[in-house]
Amino acid sequence: MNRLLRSEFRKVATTKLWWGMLLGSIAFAALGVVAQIAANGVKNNSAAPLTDPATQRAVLSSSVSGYLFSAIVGIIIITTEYRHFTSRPTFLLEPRRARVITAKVLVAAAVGLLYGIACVAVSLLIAVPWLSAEGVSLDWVANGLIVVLVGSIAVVAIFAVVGVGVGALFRNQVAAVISALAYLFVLEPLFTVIPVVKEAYRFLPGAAGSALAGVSRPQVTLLTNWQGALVLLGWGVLFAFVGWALTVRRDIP
Amino acid sequence: MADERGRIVVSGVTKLFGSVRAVEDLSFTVEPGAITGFLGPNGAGKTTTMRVLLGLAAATAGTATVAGVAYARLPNPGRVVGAVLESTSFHPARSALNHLRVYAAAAGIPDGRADDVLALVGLTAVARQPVKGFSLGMRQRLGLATALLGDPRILILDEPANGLDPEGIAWLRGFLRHLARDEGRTVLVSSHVLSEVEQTVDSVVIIARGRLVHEGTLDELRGRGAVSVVVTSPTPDRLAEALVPLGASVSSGPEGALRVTGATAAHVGHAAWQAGVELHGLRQESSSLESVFLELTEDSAPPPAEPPALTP
Repeated sequence: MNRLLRSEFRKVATTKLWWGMLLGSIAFAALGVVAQIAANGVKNNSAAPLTDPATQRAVLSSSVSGYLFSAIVGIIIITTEYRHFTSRPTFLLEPRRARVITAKVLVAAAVGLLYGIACVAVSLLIAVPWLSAEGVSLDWVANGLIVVLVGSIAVVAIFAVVGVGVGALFRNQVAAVISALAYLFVLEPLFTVIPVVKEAYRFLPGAAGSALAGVSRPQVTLLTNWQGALVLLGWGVLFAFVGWALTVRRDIP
Repeated sequence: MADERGRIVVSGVTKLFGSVRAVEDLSFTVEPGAITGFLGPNGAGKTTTMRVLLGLAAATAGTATVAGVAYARLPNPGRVVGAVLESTSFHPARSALNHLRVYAAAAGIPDGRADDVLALVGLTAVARQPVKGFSLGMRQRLGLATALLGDPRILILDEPANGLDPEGIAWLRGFLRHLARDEGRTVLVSSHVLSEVEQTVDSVVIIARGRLVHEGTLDELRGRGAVSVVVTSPTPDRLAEALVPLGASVSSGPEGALRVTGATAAHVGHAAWQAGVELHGLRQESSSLESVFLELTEDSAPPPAEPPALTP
């Protein structure tokens, strides 16, 4: 397994994808923090003042936006093999395909963890000095800010694993990325407005991630942090299993 | 058995893609110490057979073994078999050296070997350049380098001469001969052009429409060709009449000569002599290797479709 981990790590490290996506996730996180602090107190902004713990949690949970990028990296880690037919040397050197997928899942999770930590670091670097300049003091433990930060990192890491499963399912890179984005931005939000399935919404990956990162969604009841953590972890395991099972069963193109 | 370690055995392999039979009941054996050509027109099932042999595709029926076991059961396959399937398996942005290091890591091979195999195929100068700038010939060499990483006893190469210039083909020929004859490795190379590998291979496995049509040496292949006699005479009509008792088929040959198939030069000469027909030329011709190959592979039925390609 060490050999495979090393091989998979090198695959990621020897192309520019990982840091391009890292910059993207950092930029999104920073944008979220800046927008929320700058817009606070502006006329017609319904958000509570910066001294409100809920607002503080919302500002810091901008870190979670890295999940989009980590999911795409997860997808690309596997679909790039089929796109460029590097799947052939990969599975020739390790015909036990499940091990290859396991290595990819672990490397994707590590990349996701890195993105999550980077996003949290950038959010803190912007929010902490800015808020203290505004005269706001932060109570990290009592107001659950720590939970938001740790939860955000976990969400970003787990979505990378989900991405590997989605990639293994579709194999076609463009189809996988478009489907994942369409699901997260169109399909899943639709659940909140359809009465019959509305109750199921909070168990879906995006909603569970929001719960884990402490993001609040208007007019929707989310799971608690811990429930969100368990449900999202479940999705991660499910998608990893899908990737594993499909790759073992299907012919390698 | 000592030979088992280098032998490739395909036994009764059938591979269906939906209802399309890409390979049907195919059996052949490849022995070490020689270069075996795996020939057939495009779409005959060569790549599919190799994918089954290498464990990338599951056979619908039959078995294929490398070094005595199914490929997927080899403990460290990179050390036993080196394979290249259609040399396009590279990430375009990755450099040649990094490409090799990725796979060296997977096979537990020291990084230094990556530099060695690059030197072996003559790509040291471009080691740090991304593969996207490589010509087809350079990609073929890099594919070969990847296959050689684990110093394998068995090499399986799909169309390795494709895209090589004449100089490259001559280099490849010498290289493969050295690996097979001097070092005793097993080398299986596929091609859809017999002439491309004619001077390289020792024996051939020929398939068409997914079925075996010939397995053996090149001489045996030559022997399957029709023998004909080209005979010239100032009185071709009388000659044709004299040849009737032979029961051979007579057609008009080049420059007023007659082409007789189904009889030897001795038969034709004797018949002419008995009838008192004057002969000016008499020679026996066997069909060229290429035409035997075409005859064997160009039968009436349309070739089966290639497996559905995965469109990225």
